[in-house]
Amino acid sequence: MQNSHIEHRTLPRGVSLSFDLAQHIFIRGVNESVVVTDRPHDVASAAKKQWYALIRLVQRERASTLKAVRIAELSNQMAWMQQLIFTSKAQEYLPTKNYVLFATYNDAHRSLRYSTLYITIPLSSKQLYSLISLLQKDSAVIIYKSSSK
Amino acid sequence: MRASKTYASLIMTNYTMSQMNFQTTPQYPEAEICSVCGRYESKNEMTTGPNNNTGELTLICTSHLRNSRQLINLLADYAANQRQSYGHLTILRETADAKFSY
Repeated sequence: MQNSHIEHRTLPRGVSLSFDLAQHIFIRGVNESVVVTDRPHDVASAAKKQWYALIRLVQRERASTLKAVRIAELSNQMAWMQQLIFTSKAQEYLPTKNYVLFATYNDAHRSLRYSTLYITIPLSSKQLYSLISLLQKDSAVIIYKSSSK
Repeated sequence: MRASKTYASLIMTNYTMSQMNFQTTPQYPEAEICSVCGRYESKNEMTTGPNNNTGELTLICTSHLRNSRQLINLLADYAANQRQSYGHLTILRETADAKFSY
């Protein structure tokens, strides 16, 4: 919980949750993330689809540039993106690293340590604290607010 | 005519006396530096960015999120800069644990 940054985030108009999640996971660039949601399977498959679209975009950017440093860095990013596992099966199998776990509140505790926590459903402060206590140092908590409020 | 003049001056006096603490400098919201473009932005206009090579969390402008292609290139350049500027620290950290057999 040390040095955790808590961000309250509202989805911009016309942007889906899955796209925003995929883009934010890409920006963070960390190996262990947890997304707390009430429909883990649906959100995981939608985010995975957006993730693959993002991989294709990175591939196109790598192909379009002539800068050697940027090509090398985009190759590193692509390697990381391709080995990241999107899973919603917390009860069956959880990888030790390079994963994004989509889980309900109860299943989210199965992940031992993580660097980024995305909360897409309303949680009580007690529930929130129990999840934040599992965070690593210098980690981020992104709490999505519903746009109707 | 004289009465209205007096009244006007009275209003002005009272107005100036009641406004003792004028805000002479504009209050800007707390600004943070964007890790990928280096621009100062208010905290409300920023989102969580990547961790730098020392492990600290950084922030980036939300305006970058609107253009995925620009974001990919900015992040690639940022990562390359981080790798170059802190590369020697990583090497030192690795050699500290090395064991020599002689």
